[in-house]
Amino acid sequence: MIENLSILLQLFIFILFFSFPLNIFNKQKIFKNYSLSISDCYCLNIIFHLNLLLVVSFFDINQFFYFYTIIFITLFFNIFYLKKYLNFYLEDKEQLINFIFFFIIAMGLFLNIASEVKLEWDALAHWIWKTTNFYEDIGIRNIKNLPFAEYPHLGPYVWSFFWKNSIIPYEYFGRLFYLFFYIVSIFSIFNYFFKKQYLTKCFLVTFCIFLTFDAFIFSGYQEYLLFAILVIVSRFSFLFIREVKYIFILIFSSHLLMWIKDEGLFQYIIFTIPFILIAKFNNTKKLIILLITLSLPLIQFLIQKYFMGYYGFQADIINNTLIDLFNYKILFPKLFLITKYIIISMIKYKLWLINIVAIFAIFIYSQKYRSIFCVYWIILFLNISFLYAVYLHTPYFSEFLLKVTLDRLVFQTSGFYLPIFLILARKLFISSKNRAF
Amino acid sequence: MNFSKLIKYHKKNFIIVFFMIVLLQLFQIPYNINLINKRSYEVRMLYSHGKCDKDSYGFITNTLKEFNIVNEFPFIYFKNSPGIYGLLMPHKKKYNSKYVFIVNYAETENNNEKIHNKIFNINETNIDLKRYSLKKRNGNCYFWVRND
Repeated sequence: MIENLSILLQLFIFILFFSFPLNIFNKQKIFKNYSLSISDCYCLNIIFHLNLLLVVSFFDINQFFYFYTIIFITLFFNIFYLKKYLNFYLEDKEQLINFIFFFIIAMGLFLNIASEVKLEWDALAHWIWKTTNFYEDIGIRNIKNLPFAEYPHLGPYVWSFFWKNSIIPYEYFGRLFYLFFYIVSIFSIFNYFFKKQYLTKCFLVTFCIFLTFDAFIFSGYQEYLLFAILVIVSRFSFLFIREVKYIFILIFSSHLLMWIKDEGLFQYIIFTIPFILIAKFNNTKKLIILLITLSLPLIQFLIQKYFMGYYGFQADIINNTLIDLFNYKILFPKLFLITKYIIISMIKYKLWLINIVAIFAIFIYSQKYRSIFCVYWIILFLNISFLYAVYLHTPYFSEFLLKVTLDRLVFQTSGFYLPIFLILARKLFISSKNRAF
Repeated sequence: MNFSKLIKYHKKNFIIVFFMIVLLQLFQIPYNINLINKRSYEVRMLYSHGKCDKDSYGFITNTLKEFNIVNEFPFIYFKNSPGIYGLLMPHKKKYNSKYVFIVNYAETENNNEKIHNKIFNINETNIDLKRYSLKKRNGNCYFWVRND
């Protein structure tokens, strides 16, 4: 029973830890009249804390000290809002139901992970090495001596941080953060599209979680961090392009991608630059923002190369096998295999099927949304091209590699296209009178 | 108020309660609570990573406890598994080739395949088992200590 109670308490620790600095009572200071739900505030707080944790990780600051400092600040901060929170939940029945619903889903998935504590191949082969490196306070400079040193360290750092500061020091308590982030991001995007229709929202959130939850990927892989960040980027996408200060939220959200996995660097560029290009600023501002955006990978390179002591990718960017791509007898079978496994992966992670149906439906039936989502079509094209580029470029190309890795690459970005499906779902489930937009 | 009116009046509330009960069942919450209660973390690790199969978590951790190997880290030969080194907190321990685990090694009648005659390459070190004594065996899992 102690373990069950600890899991419950861990959920409340996450809720407390990420309730600072933004909440629904102080959000107007930054977001003026822009409507934000509680889950939106949590998403932005998680992004804020992940950025802080990234900085903290470089200085080898004691994880206990940092955790309890944040908890103390958060407790002190929330005392001022305690009464407001109570009134908020007691007066608004829908918010209370929303919270209970969130609580059931979170506990359901937490218990699921706790009952099956297995770590899968990549987790055992390298992620857990980095995690225990931080757990044992060895320091960031030791990463270069570990297996697959080229992989970034933010995911394992967060894993070790919550593992170390859990009530029972079991490894999976750290991984529960991945789940929390994933659930909050899903709630955030659904709350935006279904503000008042809480029953429809409950059904659709459950449906989405059944499509996207995969215990295998939660067993130590980092894919859900990428998934959740991209869902958040997508949730706020149309806010980002309004003002310069908001575009920095996009940059500081999406740059985390490159600190989680190698492919995150390319995803950072693919999912950030199109938004900057279509933003409603003048060209000078755009140019400055673009320079800042492109300087972050350079900063990562400098930190990894000269501070951490290792920078690289699994395969050299320029390698001898690239010349083979000019031979159509090699190129076409490769293209065929990659296409085959992209289709298989999309069938495996069914959110893609829903996305594809939604994309076709919007393309055929709605001129209005076709132009609204123009940036999504560009990103989709770049995203799919990136999948081909990864496997055409690798010198280790084999059908086995495609079988065991491509599905996760396909999954990572599936959440980004959720708004297209949600617009369609709104049209299907809500009468035009009740739609806010 | 009769039952049908009661249902009609509280229709939304009934749907919510019903949906939440369905969710409890869909996510197997009662089952998982009971499972976590009944099986300790160590037992669940054995189920997941195997006692003397899969990653042989049970054999390795039990043997380390039994032989009181705390500050040193044994050499472990894994087949078809990335190994559980990472789970055993290896960073502050010193690797010591005095202790060797060979797990999931299927010995055959063929003399060349007899484990005693084999030389294993573990952590870029050749381990000649002729120089070691078998201290513990469980199925296909072996624990050897060097004859010093």
